[in-house]
Amino acid sequence: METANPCPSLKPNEYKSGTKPVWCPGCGDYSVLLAITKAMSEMNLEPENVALVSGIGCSSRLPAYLNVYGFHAVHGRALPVATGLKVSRPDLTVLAAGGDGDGFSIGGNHFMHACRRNVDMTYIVMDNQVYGMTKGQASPTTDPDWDKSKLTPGGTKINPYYPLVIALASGANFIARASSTDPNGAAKVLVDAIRHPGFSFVHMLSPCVTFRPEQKDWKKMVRSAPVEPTKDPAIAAKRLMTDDNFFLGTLYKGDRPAYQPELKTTVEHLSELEQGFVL
Amino acid sequence: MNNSASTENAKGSSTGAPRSLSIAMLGSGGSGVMTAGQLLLDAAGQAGWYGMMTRSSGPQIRGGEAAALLRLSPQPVETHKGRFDILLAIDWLNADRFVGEIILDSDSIVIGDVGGQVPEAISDMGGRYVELPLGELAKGIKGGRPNMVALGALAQLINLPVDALEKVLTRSLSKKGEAAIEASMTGVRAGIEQASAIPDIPEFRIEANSQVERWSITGNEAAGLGAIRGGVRFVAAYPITPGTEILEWLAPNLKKVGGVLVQAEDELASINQLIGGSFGGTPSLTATSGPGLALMIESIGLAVASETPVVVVDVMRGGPSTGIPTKSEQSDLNIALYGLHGDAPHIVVAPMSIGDCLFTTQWATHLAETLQTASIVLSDQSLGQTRALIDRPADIAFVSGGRKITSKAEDFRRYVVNESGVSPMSIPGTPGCQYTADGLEHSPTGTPSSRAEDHIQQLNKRKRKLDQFDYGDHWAKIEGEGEMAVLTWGSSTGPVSEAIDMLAAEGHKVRLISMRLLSPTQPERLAAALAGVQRTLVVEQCHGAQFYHYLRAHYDLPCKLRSMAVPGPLMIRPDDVYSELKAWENS
Amino acid sequence: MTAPRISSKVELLARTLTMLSETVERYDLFADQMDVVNNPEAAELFRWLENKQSDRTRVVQKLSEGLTLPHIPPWDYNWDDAINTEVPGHSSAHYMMTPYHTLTLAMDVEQSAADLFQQIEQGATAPEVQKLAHSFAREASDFRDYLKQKRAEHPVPEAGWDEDEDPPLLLE
Repeated sequence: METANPCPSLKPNEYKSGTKPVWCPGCGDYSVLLAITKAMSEMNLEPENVALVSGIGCSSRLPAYLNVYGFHAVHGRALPVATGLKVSRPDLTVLAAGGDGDGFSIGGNHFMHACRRNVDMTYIVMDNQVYGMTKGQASPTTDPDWDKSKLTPGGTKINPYYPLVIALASGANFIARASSTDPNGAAKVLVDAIRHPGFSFVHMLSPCVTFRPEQKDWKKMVRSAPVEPTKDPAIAAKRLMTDDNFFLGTLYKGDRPAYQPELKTTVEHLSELEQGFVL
Repeated sequence: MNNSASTENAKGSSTGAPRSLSIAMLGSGGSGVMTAGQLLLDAAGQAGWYGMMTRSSGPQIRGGEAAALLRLSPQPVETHKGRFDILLAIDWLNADRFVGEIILDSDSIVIGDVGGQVPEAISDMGGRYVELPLGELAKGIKGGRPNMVALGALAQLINLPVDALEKVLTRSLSKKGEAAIEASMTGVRAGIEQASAIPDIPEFRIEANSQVERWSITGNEAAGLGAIRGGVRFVAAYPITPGTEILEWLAPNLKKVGGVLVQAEDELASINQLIGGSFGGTPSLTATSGPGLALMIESIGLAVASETPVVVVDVMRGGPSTGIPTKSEQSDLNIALYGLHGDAPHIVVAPMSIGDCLFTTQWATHLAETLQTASIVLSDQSLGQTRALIDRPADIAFVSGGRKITSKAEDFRRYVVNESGVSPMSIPGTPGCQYTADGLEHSPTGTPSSRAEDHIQQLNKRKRKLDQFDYGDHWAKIEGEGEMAVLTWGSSTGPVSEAIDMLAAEGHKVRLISMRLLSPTQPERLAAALAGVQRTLVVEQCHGAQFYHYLRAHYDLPCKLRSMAVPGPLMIRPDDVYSELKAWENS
Repeated sequence: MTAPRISSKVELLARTLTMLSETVERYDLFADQMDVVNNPEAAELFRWLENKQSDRTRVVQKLSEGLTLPHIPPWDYNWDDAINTEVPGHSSAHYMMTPYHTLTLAMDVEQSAADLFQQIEQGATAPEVQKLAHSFAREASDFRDYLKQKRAEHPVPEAGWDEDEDPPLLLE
């Protein structure tokens, strides 16, 4: 276990903006918000040096509730926005956040390529296996036989999406799962994720009290994975073959270097660029 | 608000316009206000009345402050007056949120629970305040709820027959059993008793007993039905407020007619799934809102260039960008008309009432199929999510048109240039008629081409097929005579229509022109419609006066034009249009 | 949760202070949540609970005066939502919760706290830790008893207390 800073300069609740969330009481996202503030506090991050980019959905309302720099972008496009920001401002700590619908449905393509590109940022997906904000449709991580959505009344009948598998296959450098039922444990995972270079993906289980009330049982089903993180993708892949979506912990910590082009001026004067035109 | 312009008040109408009743019900934190409002509307329908209901709420997904806003009338209504006769609040928590939408005056009645604190912003508007022990009565009934007591009180105040209420309650609670029905009816009766003891209540009565077959329906449901009637059998769906209900209605109903709905991963996927479905011969449609339409734009262009029929219903909401998802606006006209890159003529139509959502979606499908192009239907949140009691819409069959399909292999050229511009299509599975549809410019056989003559031929053809088509009388609704006219479209038609009626009752004649077909333009028809008109007010619900500029750009209008462009989120009120017209008349 | 083996008074004070101040924050959060969902009775009760916990936090802060408390990282606390723990879990709130539910939640918190302090007392070797843990345990169970009395003033919720006839709203 890493030693934390002796005494953080800012308490977790000093990272909150004070805006009252629209989330339903009982929502897992409150706990995720707490975990993020605890992580930032433990890491002594200055709020002005942190940026949180989100998409659209309940989870994506997060930036407004923190006093870091935030961007509430459009549905599914948090990762490209975060990528543009980090590549041009490598000095910032860049986080991206959203839900399972935002991240794996419309955002699915960007997710794959963000893992591949391996820019140094941390992506937190709050997974409640439903589209909350549009009144309860199946999301990519919903079980095929969940039949409570009017759009898919017999259940989707298609395979759910396996975020950790996709992340591993696409090249993410840090892959972990945490749960809103344990904000302190989640804080630890987040600290590790943010500290680890490259693209860090944190799959955060976060039950929806309004559209999936049965997810209250998740707190009884989650447990710590009995393994240490591996840096061998093959071992990670093998572990995922017996993952039931409720193992918590860090699965994989790779050693690919982060993608960060050097931002460096090499000419002394702009006119040096004109040489090629001179007759 | 200009009180003197109001033609309806508790003292009775002085202008001969039929008396309607506007009722607002407020409540929060699970008080069931929307459900009660819905029951009140349904009961009014049972009693032979007409009416409509809209909803307004805070931003909370659960527990938020909610308002059910009803207007009941002896004849069909689809727009709010703005002014309310009765406001009943189960509680007053955060009720001041609704102050802009609920106008009261000295003749209004405000009912609250005993011990409630009326917000100053509401009491400042005036009105007679009455207290009823809603909560206490509910507590005294096993399984009783304050919203049922409120429902009973309202029914009593407006002389709504109690058996109409009982009928709808029994039907709606049938799954929950006898005990639930009994508890609700006991609450209703308690409310009736309380309300009947209030002294000096003005006579609120709707004289109506319509025997015509009527429906209780929202614009979104109507659009769904219109799609199926138009022949749609494939739908790709991605949820977005306020269009999701079209898709939710279609999911089970499409299945019943042998069609299928697929939930897509995003709007880029939806529109492209439609192109695939349509290429295979199946009329295809999706529903979305502004942000989704923006995503679909590139591929709608593909449908136009490859001449693949598709229909996209845009249930407009407050823009730009994420905007105000739960409120209405008419600000997607520009993107619908001009959003496609390149020169890509296509169909843009707009329903002008809740019932018209059915016809217009059906028509849009028919046009897309007949003309092998993309149809964009511009509905909006106020049509889509308002529930109204309407006369059963007529069954319309378009006798000619539909997709021109060929199986003649000899000399088949998919994009052959002909008089009408509509080239017969082959459907996959037809031997000898194979072709590759293409977004690249192409020759008549479909082979990609960058040649000047192919481009001009195909551009002309794709434009000609739309311009030469006879759209009939459906292009617009034209009513009345006068040297003053109002030009409008979509949901603004409701308030405009009522304003014109108000003026007619005073002896002023104003013509109404509501355009259902926005693209392609119909310059000759509009010129004919405006014959004799000196002044035209252009009314629309958007900040940028998009419709006004569209008219100025594409039509030679003989009269003086004035723009009344009001953005959302509040709806344009009949009184607002009336005042504007009056002011112009007098100037 | 399994009680940690606490060897020093400062460690016990640090853990207790964190526990109490996080509980204060949680009650404050719940009160704000209840305001947002128009549930003023529950909001009022959570504010009252928050004040009570604030008082106790001040007492423990006073006990810590002059001492240097170690900083314990959050993951060294074993609180999670699985059992009603010494700090109320986020999932315990419901937008229609009644005063009875609110006080039950608080009672469970105090019971868990009392159990925890008892375990700490039993596992400790230093007498000053044992003594402190004992008094904290006593306080928690006393407060729990008081809450039970208060709860008796409120009716037991009927079946269907959480039934909202209106469906959830769609926002985006």
